Amino acid sequence: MNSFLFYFILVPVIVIALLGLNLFFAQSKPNEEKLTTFECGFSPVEQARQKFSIHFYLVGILFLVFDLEVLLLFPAAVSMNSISQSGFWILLFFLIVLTVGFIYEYSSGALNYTNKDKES
Amino acid sequence: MTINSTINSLLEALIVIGPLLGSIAYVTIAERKIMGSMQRRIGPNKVGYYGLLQAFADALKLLVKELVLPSNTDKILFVLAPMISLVCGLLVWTLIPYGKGLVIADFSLGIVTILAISSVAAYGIILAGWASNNKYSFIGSLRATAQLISYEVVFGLIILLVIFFVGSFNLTTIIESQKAIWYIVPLFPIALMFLIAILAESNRAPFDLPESESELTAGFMTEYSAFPFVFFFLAEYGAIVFLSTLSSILFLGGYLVPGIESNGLMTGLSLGFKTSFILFLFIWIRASFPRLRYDQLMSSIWSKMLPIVIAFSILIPCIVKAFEIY
Amino acid sequence: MSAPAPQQELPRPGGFPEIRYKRYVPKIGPSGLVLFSGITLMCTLGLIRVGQGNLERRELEREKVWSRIHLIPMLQAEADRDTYRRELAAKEREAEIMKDVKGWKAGESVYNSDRYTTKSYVVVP
Repeated sequence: MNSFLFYFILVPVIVIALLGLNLFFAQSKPNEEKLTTFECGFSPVEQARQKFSIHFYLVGILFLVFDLEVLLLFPAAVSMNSISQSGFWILLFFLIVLTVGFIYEYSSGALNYTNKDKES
Repeated sequence: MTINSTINSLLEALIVIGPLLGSIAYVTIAERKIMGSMQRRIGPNKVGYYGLLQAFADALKLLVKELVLPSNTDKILFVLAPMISLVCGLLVWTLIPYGKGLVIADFSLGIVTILAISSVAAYGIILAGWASNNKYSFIGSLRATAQLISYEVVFGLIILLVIFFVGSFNLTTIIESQKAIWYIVPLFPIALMFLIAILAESNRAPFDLPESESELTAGFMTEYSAFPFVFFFLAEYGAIVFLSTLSSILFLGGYLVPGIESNGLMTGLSLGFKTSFILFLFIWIRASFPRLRYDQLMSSIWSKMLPIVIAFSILIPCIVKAFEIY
Repeated sequence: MSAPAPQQELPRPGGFPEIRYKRYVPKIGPSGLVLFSGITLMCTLGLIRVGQGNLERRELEREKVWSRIHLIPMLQAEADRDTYRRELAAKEREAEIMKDVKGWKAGESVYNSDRYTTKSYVVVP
């Protein structure tokens, strides 16, 4: 029953209580106009879930690679006092390999034309 | 397990979460009044004395608004998304120390937990855009998520650079090790990049294209009406306050008062003062700069900031190892 | 009747000063080299302070570890004396409670050897 447990329970309870308060106090009169999706006054044209640009997928993949790099660097940051020279050189090799990969990606143009459509 | 210690624990949880929600509400009022002053007008001043009860008036108004669940949406995800954002935004506050040992949860892996929880908040944005069956919401949420995860990388790398000096993930240790000198002095360029990264993390001007009103009709928050909208609003301003606190912990010495050795009131006030300073910077930057276009935003992270941060992340371990200053 | 001389709003004699309409971004402030060397100097001095602070922290940690190493035997001996005394008191209480039960040996070991084992729970009534 420590304070973290109380906090952990209290936060969702407050959130659900606020939502319940809203549902209790608010009226609910749905009609046709309110329930359609918002398209600046027009009736919705074509389906809402369409294909989206490949750029977002590319950003996701890049984030994955670099975030895993950061994650693998975290143990090195706290253990610099107990890894001697060999640990440091392994860390540096890791960073240099990733930097070479980043240089290749930068110069190949994968980061440059993000969101710049060449046809439109 | 006495009843006294249970009441103590409950009180500890309440004295963190009560003023926290109040401070998030007052940041909204502060922002409106400060931006008004910067634009040669006064902000809201009708509701309380000097407009100080404006946030509560807004919350009460939104309390009695109708909760519209549009017809083609995924109703459960629609209501769940803002709750995920708000819960994750509030859960990280257990790790912030207000004095030496004055934390709710003194994890030895504090910083990693903070990164983890603030990355889960991105789920709320994705689900919000997907569940509201709206083209604008969807594109807005994709852009917001792409921006958020791009700046997560720089965020994580800069935190890593600070950890190289500290040697521990524990937040109290990070602050205690700044007794020699605050980390903004040796890491000044990195502190500037951190300030830019946290502006982008919280979808805040000049990086607020995902929620810009004129282009994407409020972005991923288009279909949200009453309290779910309040949740998103609270989550955004909560992220602003939390990131200000985090940057004052990492760079400005946290709760340390230079020259005075105390615990409790002085340290809490010191942390609040530094957080308020960075909050003022947030609002000042919002009032001063125009919005960045989306491809300028993306290229400024991947092409301009990330090479510098990777260069620093090769430099700092070399310095730490060469001069044995771990 | 004659109207007075019409008064027009004319610019003051000499005209108005030139309007500046072109984009004007002056290069003021310290030059790039000055800024760079200044910030490098500040970072170097900061790093020296960080290094000194970290060495100091290392010595403090060393002091903490060595003081623990020196103190542990005395504290452990105190705790052992206390535990043993409480164990004897618990055995006496058990003998008092179970004195009418036939064939009950108070403080009987649950293991098959008669090696002394420290109890896991210390009853503090």
